[in-house]
Amino acid sequence: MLEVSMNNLQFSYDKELVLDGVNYKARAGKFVCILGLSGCGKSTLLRLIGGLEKSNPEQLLVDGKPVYGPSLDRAMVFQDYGLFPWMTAGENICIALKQKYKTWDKHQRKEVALKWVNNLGLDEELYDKLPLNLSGGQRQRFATARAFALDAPLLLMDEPFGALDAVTSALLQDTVLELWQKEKENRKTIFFVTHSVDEALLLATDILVLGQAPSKIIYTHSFTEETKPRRETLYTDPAVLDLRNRLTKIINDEIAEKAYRLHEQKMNITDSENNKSVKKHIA
Amino acid sequence: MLKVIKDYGSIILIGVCILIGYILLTDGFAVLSSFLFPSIFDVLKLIPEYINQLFAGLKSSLYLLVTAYVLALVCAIALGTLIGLKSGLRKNATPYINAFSAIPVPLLTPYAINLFPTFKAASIFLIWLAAFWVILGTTIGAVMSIDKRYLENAATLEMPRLEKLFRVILPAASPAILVGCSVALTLSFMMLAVAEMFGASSGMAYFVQYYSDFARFDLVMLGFLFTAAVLVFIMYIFDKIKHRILHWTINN
Ligand SMILES: Nc1ncnc2c1ncn2[C@@H]1O[C@H](COP(=O)(O)OP(=O)(O)OP(=O)(O)O)[C@@H](O)[C@H]1O
Ligand SMILES: [Mg+2]
Repeated sequence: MLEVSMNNLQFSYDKELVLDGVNYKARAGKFVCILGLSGCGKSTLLRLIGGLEKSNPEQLLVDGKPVYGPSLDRAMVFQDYGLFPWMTAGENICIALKQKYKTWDKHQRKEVALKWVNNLGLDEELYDKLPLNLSGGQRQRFATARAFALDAPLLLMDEPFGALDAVTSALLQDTVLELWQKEKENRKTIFFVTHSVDEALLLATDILVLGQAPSKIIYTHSFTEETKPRRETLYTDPAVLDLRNRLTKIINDEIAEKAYRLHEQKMNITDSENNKSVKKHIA
Repeated sequence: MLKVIKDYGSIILIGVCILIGYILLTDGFAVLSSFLFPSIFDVLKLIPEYINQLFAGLKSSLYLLVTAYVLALVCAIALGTLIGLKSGLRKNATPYINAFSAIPVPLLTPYAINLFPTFKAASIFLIWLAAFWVILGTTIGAVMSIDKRYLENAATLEMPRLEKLFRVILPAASPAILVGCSVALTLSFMMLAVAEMFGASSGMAYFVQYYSDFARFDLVMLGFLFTAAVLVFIMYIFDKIKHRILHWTINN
């Protein structure tokens, strides 16, 4: 439900510039999918919105306000490490609820946690298991359940289903989409990082492609309520097929360019080494 | 019963082998001097007569050990967590911690005796100090190297400080802290022996010390065996507690 706007957003780790002027405005209730090559700064962008990295207060606004740090209003789902391993999966949800709803007692927390466990298609007997004893997919589902249970108006998901098999990730995609759609006018704003063009097509109302670091947005696409692809039309609708081709081409061009650049660098290095050895020879 | 044999069978077997080895070396072939290494059967015969004395010793030793160790545990973990979390404090305190922890604690015995009013207080101080440095060092390291992602996870939940400390920081650091705790426990035993060599009137190490002055090596041997049994038992309890705390890690 929160609006996110980036005005020429720049960010660097130490001296390495990662984001170089990202301009984007996500209206409240949008499902924004971010595509881009590995290392281009997708996670960094999400961490900035989440308040885990410091941003310039003029360059990034959430709900019209600068981001000064993490907040319960911005729930995050990370790949692999969303749960504390020393608590049971259920306790992980409950401890989050405890921070958000300070007046609830234990039973209320457990009741709501169990509701979300069910919503994500998890068996209730998994509730008391340690994350260690869950499968990767089950862990991701608990992490997602926790984020939804917090009912935050802004949800930040960093490749949450990246490591799962096709069937499991399809199930989770459908679940997330359904949970998001269900809320009608009160839809959460979601930022969702993914590697998969198909995942983005299926989930997004808006797709962003980030270029290589230091990156800018190199492509955006918005769907309307009518043009938004559904799983059934994902491989048949000509407009969707066309868009998939375009996105794939953009990403492949990026890959080709990156490969070329790496090749050049390598050649330069070997060249200079050759020069050195030639010089040695002459000397 | 069957389960006990299954779980501890090999351990018992090794113990029996050592025992048989000892019997062969003493009673069997008389390889070892029977003065320094008395027959195990003679030693066992002494139990009824000395059992009360041994248990009185155990009681006074345990009092020193437990008091000092628990105090060290609380102080070192509290201080270590604080120093581990505050990088400024850590930077300034580290050289001094390194310098002080390098002093062998037994060398401080004369100071302890002079500074503390009673033998008990002095002993507790020495054992405390030995355990303290080890736990402090490992706690600082453990807290410092907590996976940043756990802290970020806690931050996104806006966890209050105290809850973050007990539900995130200490659990995340506990595997490394417990390694320090078990080293500290072993060190405490050694310091206990040192501490009981002066001024004590009972205790497990005192028992051994006292009878070795009279060259009663059968009683010395009895003292050793008793102490060893106590150590094995304490370590067993310690391991149980450790497994309890670390049940969430892969190795448990
Ligand atoms: N904590 C950090 N300190 C310094 N540099 C970092 C840090 N985190 C990321 N980087 C650098 O920032 C760049 C962007 O990283 P980021 O994690 O945002 O990429 P990404 O798009 O999420 O990649 P992937 O798809 O592989 O997850 C990379 O070049 C990375 O090396
Ligand atoms: Mg990433």
